Amino acid sequence: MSSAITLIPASRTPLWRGRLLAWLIALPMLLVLAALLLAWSQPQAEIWAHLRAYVLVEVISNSVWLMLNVAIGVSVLGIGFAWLSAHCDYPGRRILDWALVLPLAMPTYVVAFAWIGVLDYSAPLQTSWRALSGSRASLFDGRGILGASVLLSLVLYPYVYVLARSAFLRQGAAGFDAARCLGHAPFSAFFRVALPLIRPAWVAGLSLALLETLADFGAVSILGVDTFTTAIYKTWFGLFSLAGAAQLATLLLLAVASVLLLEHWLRGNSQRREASVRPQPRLRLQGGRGWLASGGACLLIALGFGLPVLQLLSWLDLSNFDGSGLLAASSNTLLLGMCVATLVLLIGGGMAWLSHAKPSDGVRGSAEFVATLGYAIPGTVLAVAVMGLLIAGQHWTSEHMGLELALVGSILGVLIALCVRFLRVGHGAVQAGLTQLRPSLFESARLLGAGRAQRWRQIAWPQLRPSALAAMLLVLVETMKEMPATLMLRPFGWDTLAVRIYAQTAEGLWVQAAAPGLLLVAAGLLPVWWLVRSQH
Amino acid sequence: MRIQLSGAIVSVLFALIASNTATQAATPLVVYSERREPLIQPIFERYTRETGIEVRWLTDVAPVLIERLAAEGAATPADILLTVDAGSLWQAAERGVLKPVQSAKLEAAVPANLRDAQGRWFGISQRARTIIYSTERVAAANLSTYAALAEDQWRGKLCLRSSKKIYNQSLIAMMIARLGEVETEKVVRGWVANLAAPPFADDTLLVQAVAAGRCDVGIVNTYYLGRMIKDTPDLPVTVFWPDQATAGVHINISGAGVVAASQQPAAAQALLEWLVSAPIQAEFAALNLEFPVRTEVAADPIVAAWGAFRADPIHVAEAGRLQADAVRLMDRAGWK
Repeated sequence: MSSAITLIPASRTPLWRGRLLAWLIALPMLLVLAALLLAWSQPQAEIWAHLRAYVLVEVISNSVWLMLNVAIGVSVLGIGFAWLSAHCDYPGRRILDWALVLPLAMPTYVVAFAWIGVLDYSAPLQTSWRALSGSRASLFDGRGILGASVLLSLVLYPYVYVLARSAFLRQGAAGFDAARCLGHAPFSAFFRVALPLIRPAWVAGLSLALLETLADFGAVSILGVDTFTTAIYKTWFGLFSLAGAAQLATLLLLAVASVLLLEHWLRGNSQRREASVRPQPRLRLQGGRGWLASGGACLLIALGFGLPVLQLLSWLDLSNFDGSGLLAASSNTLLLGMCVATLVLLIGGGMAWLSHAKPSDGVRGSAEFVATLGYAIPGTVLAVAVMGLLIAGQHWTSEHMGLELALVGSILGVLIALCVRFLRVGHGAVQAGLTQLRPSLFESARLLGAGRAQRWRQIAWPQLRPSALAAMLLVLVETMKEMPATLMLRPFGWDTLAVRIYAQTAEGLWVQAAAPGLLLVAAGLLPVWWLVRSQH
Repeated sequence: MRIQLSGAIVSVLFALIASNTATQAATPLVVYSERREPLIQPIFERYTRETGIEVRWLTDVAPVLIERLAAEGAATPADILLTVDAGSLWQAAERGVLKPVQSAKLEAAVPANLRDAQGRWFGISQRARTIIYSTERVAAANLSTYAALAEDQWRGKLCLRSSKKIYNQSLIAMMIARLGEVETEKVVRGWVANLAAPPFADDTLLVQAVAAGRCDVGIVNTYYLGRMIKDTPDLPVTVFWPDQATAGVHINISGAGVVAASQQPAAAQALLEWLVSAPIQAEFAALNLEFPVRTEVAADPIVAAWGAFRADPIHVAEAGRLQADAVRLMDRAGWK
């Protein structure tokens, strides 16, 4: 990639400034990493002998299978419907376009318990089937790897859908049409032309879905799948070895780092392309094919959103409604979400911008890589590391600066942990937008004598606004859904909706979590609705 | 815009940190609780009504609360740690976050096997983890001991909860203490071979599975069954008290201790003493259909209907001491 097409001329910004800034951004994650690596100084030979013999093989195989299945699931669903939504027309498309984003508002653990409520052997669906058929055998009860793969695909595909859809829209249909004119069938044209063009967006969405899968604890525990993350928790909670758990977490990060390098490699091959902004006529799906498309979309939304919400509604018990507590938790949830989303947009977006300006700087690039690793650390492990950092910070400030700060148990811990965790979400979305910027516009603007500020204000920002907004809203939803790190680091007496759900469900009483669960979904719908509106 | 926005965030941050320290300045009693909020809220509200002392709480799982206590050190706002498992209390005491308490009231009320010998923690309620069976498909005469569930007659008829749950870890730890590791592993392997379905994520699902006919027998904490019987009195599932001729039924506790760094240990101790007083014992246990630690206090009628039983008199601290061994044993035996 030549520097001629970057937005900031290389000579104007000194290299060290970008590097310093990038490493400053990466600092919290670097410290978390250091805290985790420090755990290796306490050898856990006995724990490792046990893990190697009885645990690791199974959990690694489970995790790999789960990720493969989810990768296929979210790619097929996400890209398929993104394409239909961007380039085709079918009955109900205008509503389905945005309704397909709805599952994004669902926390995976909420869907999992609703899912069990619908599919369990003792639930009405299966009992009536047994009554009708006279058999005692169980139908698919939604548990195990298959159940978890389907569930996670149904809830996580919107990451790919949202990013791929906006990429398809920006890309226009000219390339696809040209391929058609050259004699390619629609499928062939799609795979050979349209798909490669949106690869950055696809890969960004896919990596989010996969990292979420890897770090998921709630849903896989409910569905009885032992993954690498559940093994980390078991090592800590069951074998009393926090050091062993931290060591396992570093291995998990190693695996993640290789996935991310793969992503980097996949994205690195793609070049910035000129896009056509000419509105394209949509391919009208006729008759049965059109109804098939809308039927598929409806089914997807019903499974990932409608059914869980209905199950929660059926559990709702208004006689036990704690209005003021839930109101406070809702406003805390939104406040926390907005703070984290803004911070992540500034930090992650800034980082993506730096990298866009100087794509080939390895020093800065590795800072960026480290900074975005946090998305794969299971929440509680991240929380322990952040808590360690806060303690160190508290000691340091009181010794060296004479300040008595109450850092441990303050909101600062939650903010640091969530920013570290979700930086990747904001960064990835902005980066995907940046790679599709049209450099020729900047060249023209520069030739016409526009200054840096003006080029940013009048050209870059209008083009970047959708991805920046998407980044912010994705982080907002993610933050609101996050449970373990918020639970552990929250200030005393400061509850969010996820914390309220935990308070009710710790003993498997899912029914009592229906109210905070529904409110959390409703809160998640706000940014989802906004996200959808911004893209139209 | 960027500068304005970050300015706003910084001020919100400082406001939140400041408000956090401000709330710490007033000193109500603070409980870090693994026990769910609905089970402690009515009790602590009653304490406030009776004494005027406000009680506040923060809920999470015990290992996280213990780690948080250790991290907060002397600055912790917590006065009491309340958990739902003896193993966790043992672990908290080992970690040094609990303070020894000398109290004649607590020692008189709580049987010696349900409290720490050094007074760092005390049982507040007892929980029995026992066998449940389908009254439609199983004759109680066929049941005898936990170990007997490994027999061939239960092939494809047994349901268990995940081995990740500490209740099962404590059960197996106690079995190791009683039977030794070799014998316990044989039993657990037998159980795994008899499973009708992969282990469940919680006890409620397990009771439902027995009621619906997916399996005939299972092992749960009695209060899960109690709750369901409260809603559905004709549920075709009931409890069986195993090992009555030998060790007795496996008992665990929900218990509490005074936090080592508590600023008001005397007030914390007073709350613990109040919790084991006779009237509170009845309410505390009845809220979750558990058994009071004071043996002379009657349990809820639903619980009492299951009849008297011999409880294993082994010290519950064994659960903590042998928990890691139990987890390793369950992993070896393939209990997921």
